[in-house]
Amino acid sequence: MKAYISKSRKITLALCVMMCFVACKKNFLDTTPLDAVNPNDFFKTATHLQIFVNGFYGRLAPQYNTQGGTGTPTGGNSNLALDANSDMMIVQTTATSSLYRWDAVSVAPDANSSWSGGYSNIRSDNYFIKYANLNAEKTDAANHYIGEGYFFRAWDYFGLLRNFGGVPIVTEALNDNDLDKLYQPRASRYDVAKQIIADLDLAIAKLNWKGEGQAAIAGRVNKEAALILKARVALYEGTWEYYHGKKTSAYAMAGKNGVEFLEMIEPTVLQLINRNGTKIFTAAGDKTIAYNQLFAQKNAANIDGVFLFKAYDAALLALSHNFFFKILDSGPSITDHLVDIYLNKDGTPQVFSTNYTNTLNQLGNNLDPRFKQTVWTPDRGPLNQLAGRGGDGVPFRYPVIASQAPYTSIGFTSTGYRNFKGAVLAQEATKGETDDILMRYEEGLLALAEAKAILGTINQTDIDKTVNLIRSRVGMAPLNINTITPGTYREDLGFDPTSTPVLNEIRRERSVEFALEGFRLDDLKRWAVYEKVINGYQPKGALLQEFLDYFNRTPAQVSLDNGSEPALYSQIRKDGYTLNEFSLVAGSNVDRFANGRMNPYFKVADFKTGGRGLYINPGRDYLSAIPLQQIKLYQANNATLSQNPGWN
Amino acid sequence: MNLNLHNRYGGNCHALYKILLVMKMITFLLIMTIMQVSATTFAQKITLNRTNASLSSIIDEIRNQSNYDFFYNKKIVKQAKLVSINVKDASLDEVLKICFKDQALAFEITDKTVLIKGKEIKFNFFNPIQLPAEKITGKVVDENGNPIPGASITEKGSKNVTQTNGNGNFTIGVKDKAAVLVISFIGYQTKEVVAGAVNGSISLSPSQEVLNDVVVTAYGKVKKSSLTDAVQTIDGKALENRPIRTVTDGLIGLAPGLNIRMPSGAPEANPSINIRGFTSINSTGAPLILVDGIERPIQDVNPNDVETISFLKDGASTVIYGSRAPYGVLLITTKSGKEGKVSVNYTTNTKIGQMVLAPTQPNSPDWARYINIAQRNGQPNGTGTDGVDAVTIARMEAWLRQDWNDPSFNALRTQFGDKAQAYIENGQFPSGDAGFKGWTREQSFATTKLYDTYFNNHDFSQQHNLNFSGGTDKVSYFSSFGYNNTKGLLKGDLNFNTRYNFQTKLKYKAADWLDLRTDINYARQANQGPNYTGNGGDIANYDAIFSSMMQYFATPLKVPSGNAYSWILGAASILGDGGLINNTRNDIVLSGGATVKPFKHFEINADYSRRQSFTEYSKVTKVVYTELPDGTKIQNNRSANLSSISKTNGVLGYQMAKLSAQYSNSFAQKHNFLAQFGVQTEETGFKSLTGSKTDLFAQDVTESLSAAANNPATSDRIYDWSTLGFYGVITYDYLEKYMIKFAGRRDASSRFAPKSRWGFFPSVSGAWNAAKEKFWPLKNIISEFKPRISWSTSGDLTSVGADNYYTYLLTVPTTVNKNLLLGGAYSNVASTPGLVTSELTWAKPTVLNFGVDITALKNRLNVTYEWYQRTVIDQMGPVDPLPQVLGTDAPQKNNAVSETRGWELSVGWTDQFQAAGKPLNYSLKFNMSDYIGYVKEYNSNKTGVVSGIWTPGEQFGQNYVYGVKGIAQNAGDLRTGTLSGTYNYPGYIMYNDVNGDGYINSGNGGFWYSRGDVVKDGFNYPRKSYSILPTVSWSNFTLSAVLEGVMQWRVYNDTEWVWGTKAGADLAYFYTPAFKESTDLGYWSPGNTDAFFPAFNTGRGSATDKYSLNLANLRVRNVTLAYDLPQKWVNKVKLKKVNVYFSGENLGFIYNKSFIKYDPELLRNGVNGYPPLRYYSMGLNINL
Repeated sequence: MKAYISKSRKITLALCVMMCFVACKKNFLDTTPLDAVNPNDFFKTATHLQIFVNGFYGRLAPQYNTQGGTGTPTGGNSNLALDANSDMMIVQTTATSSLYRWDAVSVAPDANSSWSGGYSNIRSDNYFIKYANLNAEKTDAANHYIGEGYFFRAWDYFGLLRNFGGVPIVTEALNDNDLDKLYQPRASRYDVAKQIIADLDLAIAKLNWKGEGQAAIAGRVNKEAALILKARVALYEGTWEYYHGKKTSAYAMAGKNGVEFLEMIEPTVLQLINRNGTKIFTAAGDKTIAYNQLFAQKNAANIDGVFLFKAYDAALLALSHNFFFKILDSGPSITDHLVDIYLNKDGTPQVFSTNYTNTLNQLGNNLDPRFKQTVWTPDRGPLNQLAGRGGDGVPFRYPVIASQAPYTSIGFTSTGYRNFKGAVLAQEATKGETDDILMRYEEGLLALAEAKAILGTINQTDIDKTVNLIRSRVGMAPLNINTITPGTYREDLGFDPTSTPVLNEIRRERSVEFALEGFRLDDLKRWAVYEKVINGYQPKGALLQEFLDYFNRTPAQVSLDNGSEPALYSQIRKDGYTLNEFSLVAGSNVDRFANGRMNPYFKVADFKTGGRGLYINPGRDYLSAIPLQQIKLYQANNATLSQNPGWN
Repeated sequence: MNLNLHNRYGGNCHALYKILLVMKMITFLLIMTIMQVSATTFAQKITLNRTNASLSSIIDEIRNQSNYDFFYNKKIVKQAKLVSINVKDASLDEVLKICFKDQALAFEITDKTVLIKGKEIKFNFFNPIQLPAEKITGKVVDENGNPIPGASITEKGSKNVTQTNGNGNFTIGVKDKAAVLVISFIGYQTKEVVAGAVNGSISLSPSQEVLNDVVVTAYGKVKKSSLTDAVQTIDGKALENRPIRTVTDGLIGLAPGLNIRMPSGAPEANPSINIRGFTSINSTGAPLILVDGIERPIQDVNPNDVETISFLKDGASTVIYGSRAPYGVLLITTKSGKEGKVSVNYTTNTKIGQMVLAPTQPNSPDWARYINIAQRNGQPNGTGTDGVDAVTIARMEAWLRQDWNDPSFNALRTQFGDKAQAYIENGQFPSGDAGFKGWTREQSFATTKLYDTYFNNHDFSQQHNLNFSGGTDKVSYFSSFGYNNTKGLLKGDLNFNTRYNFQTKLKYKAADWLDLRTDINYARQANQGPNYTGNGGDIANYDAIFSSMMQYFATPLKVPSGNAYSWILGAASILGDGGLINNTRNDIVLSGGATVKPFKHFEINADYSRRQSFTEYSKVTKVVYTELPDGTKIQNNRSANLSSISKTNGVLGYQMAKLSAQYSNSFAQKHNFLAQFGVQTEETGFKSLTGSKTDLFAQDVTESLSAAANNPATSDRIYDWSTLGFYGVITYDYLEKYMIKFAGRRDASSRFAPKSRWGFFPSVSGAWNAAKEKFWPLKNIISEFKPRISWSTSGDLTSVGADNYYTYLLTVPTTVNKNLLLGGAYSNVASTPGLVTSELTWAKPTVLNFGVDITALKNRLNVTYEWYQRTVIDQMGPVDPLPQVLGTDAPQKNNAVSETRGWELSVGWTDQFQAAGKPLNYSLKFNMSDYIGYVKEYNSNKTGVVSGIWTPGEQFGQNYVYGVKGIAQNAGDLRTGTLSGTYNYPGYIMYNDVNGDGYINSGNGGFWYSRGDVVKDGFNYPRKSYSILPTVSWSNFTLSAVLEGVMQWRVYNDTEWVWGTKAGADLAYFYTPAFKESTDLGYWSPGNTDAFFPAFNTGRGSATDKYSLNLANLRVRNVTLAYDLPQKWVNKVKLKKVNVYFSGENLGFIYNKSFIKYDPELLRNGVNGYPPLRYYSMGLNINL
C-alpha cells in the first residue's frame, strides 16, 4: 500500500515540476519582433539613413499621369495639369470648381489632409534628424543624408506655410505627454519662414553638389535643389509680406515688409550662377524644341539646369509620368489668360480687337516661340505625326470639345487649347518613360530678377544673366530694360499697373516660362492679386470657327481626307474618325462669346455674357481654413489655435 | 499550487530562475526514482504452495501478498471446495483462476478489489412453446405514484402497441406471459417488464438525461442541475443530416445569444460567430473555439463528428480558458468510442446549391433608357446628356426581336458591307477609333444576362463520412474520415472549397489509477477561385466580380468570330482565364493527456497539444486577350497588364500545455466539494515566405516561380506570442440545493510589457435549487426551479488588434517602394515608428449574469432565462484625440468603458401522443435574445469635441436618419425641406425640418447628442432575434426544422442594388444596373408623381427613414425529413440501421419586411457580395 501511494505521488510531483519547467522557461513571455529592425539598431550607417530618408521622396511628386504606362484610356488617368484650377487652366467637367465660390459657406472643414499629413511628415523628419544626428557615423555620405532630412523638413513646412500661413513649429519628435508643445499656438508666418530658411541653410551646408558624392545617385536631392528651394521660399515669403503689407490686407505680416527675405535671394542664386553660369538645356541648339523637350527627357539626370526630378520608367513602375495623357485632353484646359499673356515674337505685346480672329497656327507663328512649344497647333500635324507613332493610340487630331457622346470616357478640352509642353516625339509617347522635372535653374534665375526688380536694384546685366539667357534658348527677342514697349499691364492677368515695366515684364516672363508647372496660384496669392485676376473672370478658349470648320466637314472634304485625290491632299487626313459620329453645333453642344472665342461653360448663366463669372472671397480664400476639429480640441484643453481670416 | 508563488514569479524573475535550476535537478532525480519504484510495483507476484486448503485461508494469503481487498459472502466461501495450489511469481489473475476452477463461484477484479459471487445460471430459450394470447392489464405511474396518461406500451419485437388512458391504465393482449413489454414515456426512462410479472402499477423513473443532463463545462462534465453559470448545450444531432459545410452554418438559430453572420454564399466563406453581442468599442466579441480542448478553426470540424457543443457565456464558466476567452467559449466535443463491438457508420450527402434572391437584370433597351435618365438627372438642370443615343436604343430593341432588317441597322450595312450581318447578330460593331480597341460599349446593342452568363443555375456537391467506433473495458476508439466538397456557382469547375478530415481518438486505461488519451487530427482545406483582373487578394475578389455585373449589359459575351471574349466584359477573368487563386491548408493537431488518480477523490490531469498548420497560397495572374476586328489579339480590358505569380507558404506552430489538480468529495452525503487548480501555457510561432515574379514564360502551361522572368521579390513574416496563466476553481454545494463557486485566474501575455502583462481576474457564482426545498409548493408542476447569479471578470487582449503582437516595442518597418526609383532601381524605404506605451494592459470584461432554469409539467417544459450586463473596463478605446501637430496617433491606451446588456430566453416543450396506433414524439423549442451596447466612459472625448469618435452615452449601431417629408412636386416645394449646399429640383426628396431652423442639416459639427434634423431610426444589427425549432417523429419518420427570425433590424443602404443607380452618376454606364427589383418600385417623374423613389439618380442625399430598409424577417433555415428503413429489410442485408433523409438549407422567407427583396444578410452593408445560396440535399446514413 505504501509503495503504491508514493508512486502516484511522485508521478504527480514530477508532472507538476515539469509543467512549471515548461511554463517558466526563461524569457518565455518576452517575445520581440522578428521581421523588423529596432530603432536603436537603426540610424547608424549611411545606408540606414538613406533607407529612412528614401521614405520622404514620395512627398515630392504626386503628379503621375496614368497607371500602368500602357496608354489604355481607361487605365485611370490622373492627368494632373499642375495649374489646373488656376485662371490659366480650368477644370472643365464642372463650373463649380474651387474658383467658383459664390455660394461657398465659410465654415471650416473638420479636417484637412494638408494639415494632418503635413505634421505627419514633419514628425518623420524630426525623428530622422534627431536619431541621425545622435547615432550616425560621421561620414560625408551620412552628412549628405542628414542634409536631405533638413531639406525635407523645410519642404514640409513650406507646404504648411503656403496652405495655412503661420503654424505651430515642432522640431522634435513629440510624445503624447508633451502637452505644452502639443497645444502650442500658431507661430507667425514670419517665424515659420525663418525656420524653413534655417533648415535650408543646414541642408545647403551638408548636401553634395549635383553629380558628386551621394548626389550622384539619380533622383536624389542635391545642394542645388536646396538653393532653389531657399530662393523659392524667400521669394514667396518676401513678396507675400511685401505686397500684402503694402495693401495692409488681412494677410499682412505685422511689422515686416519682406525685404529681409528678398535680400536673401541674390547671395543664394549667385551660388548657383557661380557653378552653372549659362548652362541650361538647349536641345543642342534646336530653338524650335529646346523648351518643349526639356520636359520630355527619358533621363533627366544629366540635363543642364535640372536640379531635382522624379525618375519614371515604364518597365519598373506601376505609375508613370506620361506625356501622352497630358495631351489627351482629360478636362483641364488652357485658357485665354495664358495665351494672351505671351508677347509677340518681337517682344511687343499682343493687341486685341473686339473680333478675335487668331487661329491656332497664327498664334503659333506670331507669338513668343514658347507658345508653340506649350500649346498644340494644327501645323504640328493632324494625326499620328509623331515620328514612329505609326497609328496606334488616339490620333493627334483637333481636340474634342467638351464631353459628349460618343466621347464620354476619353478626354476633351473645352477651350480648344491643348497642352503640348513636353511632347514626346517618339514611339514611346504612351509608355510613360519621361522623368518629371521638379526643380530647375531657371526658377532661381527668375527669382533673382524678380527680387532685384522689387528691391529696385536690377540692371541690364542682371536681366542678361537671367531673363535673356532663358529667352535666347528659344530665340525670343531679348528684354532691354530701357526699351520696354509698355503695354497695358492688365490687373486681371496678374500684372501690377502701379509698378515698373521691368517688374511686370519679369512677372510675364515667369508666367510664360513656368506655364502649367504649378506656380500660378501661389504667384497670384503672394502678389496679392488673387481676387483681381479671378473675380468676374469668364474663361475663354480658342477661336470656335476653326473647330467648326474642322469637325463639320462636308462629305467631299471627308472624301479628300480619306485620300481620294492624293494630289489635293487635305490638310486633315484620315484619322479614323467618321463624320457621322460627331458634329459641333454652336449654341447646342458648343458655344462662343461675342468676340468668337469659345465659351467652355456656355450652359451656366454666370459664364454667359453679363454673368458674374468666377469668384473667390478675397477676405478668406488666400489661405485654407485651420481644421475646425483641431481648433475645438485646443479649446477643450484651454489652449488657442487661431483661425485664418474669413473662416469660422 | 498557490497563487502567491506565481505572484513571486511575476515580480522577481531572477530568484525564480535559481529555483528553476534546482527544480530541474529534482525533476531528473524524481524521474529516475519513479522508474525504479514502478519496476518493483508492476513486478509484484504471488507465490503459493498449499494442498487442500480452505478457500478463505487462501484468500487471506493472497490479500497479504497482493494488497488487494476481497469482498465476499462468508457463507458461500465456506461452502466452497478445498483448493490445492502451487505457483511461483504468478499473477493475481492466474492464481485466482486456479482457485476458482471447479468452484460454483466466480470472481471479478475491479479497482484493487476482488469480488467473489455465485455463478450466474443461463437459461436457453430455444423452442419456446406457443401459448394462447394473454390479456395483460396494468397501470403506469411516475416516481410519486401519480398516473401517467399517454405512456406507450409495446410488446417487444412486434407491432403490438397500446397507450395508457387518462388514469394511467392499459390493457394489452400478448402472445404469452413471457413476452416483454416496453413501457415508455417522454422524459422517463424506458422500462421493460415481463408480461407475466405485471401486477398492478408499473413505476417509471424520470429520465436521467433530463434530470442529470450532463453539461460539458470548462472544468469537466457537470450535472446540469448543479450548474451555477450561463451555459447552453447543443446536441450534435442538430448538425447531422444537413447539407452544411461548417459547424457554424449549422448552429444558426440553435441557441439564444449566439449571433452568426453569414454574409456570403462563396464556397469558402466562413460565417462569423459571436456570443452575446458584437457591440463594443473595438472588439468583435468573438468566442474562443475549442475542439476537444484545443483551439482550432471551426471550419475544420466535420459537423458529423460533433457530439455536443457547449456555449460558455459568462466569465465564471470560462475561467479555465481565461485570457483567450473574454467573450465566451464554444466547446465542441467530438464523438468518442464506447465499449462494445465495432460500430461502423457511413453517411453520404449530395447537395444542390442555388443562388436565391439574386437581382433581375433588365433588357438592354430599358437599361439604356435608365442610363439616359440617370445622366440627365445626375447633373445640374439642363447640363446632363444622354449616355446612349436613340439609334443605339433602336438597335437594342431590334436585336432583342432578332429583326436584322430593322432600319436602325442600315447605317452599319453601308459602313461594313458584307461583314455587317455578323456584327449585327453578335450585337456589337467595331469602333473606328483604334484607341477604343475595336469593340466598345458605345457600339454595343446586345442584351447579355450576366448572371446567366457567369453562374450555373445549380451546382452539385458531395460529402462522405465514415467512422468506426468501439472499445473494450481498457481501450476505446473513434476514427472518422470525412470529405466535403462545396462548389461555387461560377461556371466551370474552378470555384470550390474542399475539406478532408481525419480523426482518431483513443482512450486507454493504463492502470486503474491512470487514464491516457490520444487524439490525432488532420484537416485539409483547399479552395480556389478566379483571379479577377489580377486584383484578387487571398481569395477571389467576389465584391469586384459582383460589382462588374452591374455594367455593360449590352455588350455581347464574345466577339463575332466566337474565339475570344469581348473586350469590355470581365468574363474571361471571371470564368478563370485570368488565372486562379488557390489556398490550401493542412492542419495537424496532435494531443495527448493523462489523468492520474493517486488517491480517492483526487485526480490530476495533464494535457498537451500541438497544432501545426501549413498554408500554401498561390495566385496566378494571366493576361487575357480579345480579338480585334482585323483578327489581331490585344489585352482584354479587364486583364492584368502582366502575367505574374505569387506564392506564400506559411507554418503556424501552436502548442498548449495544461496541468490541473482536482479534489472532489462528498461529506455526509450533504456537502459536495470540488476544487481545481491549474496552470496553462500557450505558445505560437508563425513564419511565412512569399515570393513573386512577373511574366510567366508559358502562362497557360506552367505556373511556377521558376518559369517566370522578371521582377523577383521575396518577403517574409515572422511573429510569436505566448501566454501563461494560473487558475483555481472551488465549488461547493449543500444537498445540491445551494451551490456556490469561486474562481480566479492570473494571466500574463507576451503582448504586453513585463510590468503590465499580469492581470488577476476573479469571479463568483451561485445557484439555489428551490424545487428541492421541502416547502416547495409546486412539486407536481415545477420539478426544477433554479435561480442563478454570477459575477465574473476576465482579461481581454483582442482589442489591441489581432496582429498587434508587440504592443510596447518599436520597430522601423522597411519595405521596397516600387513607385520610387532612385539611382535607377526600386528604393528600400523605412517608415517612422508610431508611438507605443508600456502601460497597455488587459481590458477587463466584467459580466453580471442572472439566470433561472425551470423544468415543469413532468419534464415536458424546459425554460431558461438569462439577463446579463457585460462591462468592458479598461478597454482599449480609440486613441485619445490629440492635436495633429503630434504627427501621429496617440498610443493605444486602456481608456474606455463600454457596456452591453442583454437577455436570452429559451423555452422547450417535448411531448408524445398516439397517432394512428403509433407513438408520435414531438418537441418545439423557442429561443430569443436581444442586446444593446453603449459607451460608458471615454473621457478623452467626453464632450464630443472630436466628431466621428465615441462619446459617453452613445449607443452602438444606432441609426441616425433624416425624416422624409415627401417628394418635391414643384419648385415651390423646394423652398423648404431640401438639403442645403446642393442643387435641388422637383422630384427630389424633401426632409423634415425637425428643429425648425429653416435648414436641413445634421446639427452642431457632429456632436452625437446634437444632431439637428437627424432622428434615431433603430439599430443596424439584428435586435430581438429568435428561432423556432420544431421536431416531430412518428413511426420511422422524423421531421425537423429550424426557423430563424429577427424582429427589429434597420439599415440604410445607398448602393445601386437598392436605388437602381448611384447618386449623381455622371458616368451612368458604370453605376446604373436598374435591376428590376428597384425599378419596379417606381421613380418620380412629372407623369408619376406619387412614385416610391424620388426622381431617378437625384439627391437621395442622406440616409432617410423612408428609405431605410426594415430587415425584419423570418426565414426557413432548415427542414429535414429522415426515414429509417424498416428493420426487417435492413437486417436482411446485415446492416444495423439505414436512414434516408432529405434536407434543405436557407429555403426561403415566411416574411421579409424589406421593401427590396434581397437577402437581409446581403443588404446589411453594401451588396457586392456573393448572395447566400439555397441548398437541397439527399443523404444516406448507414450503420453496420
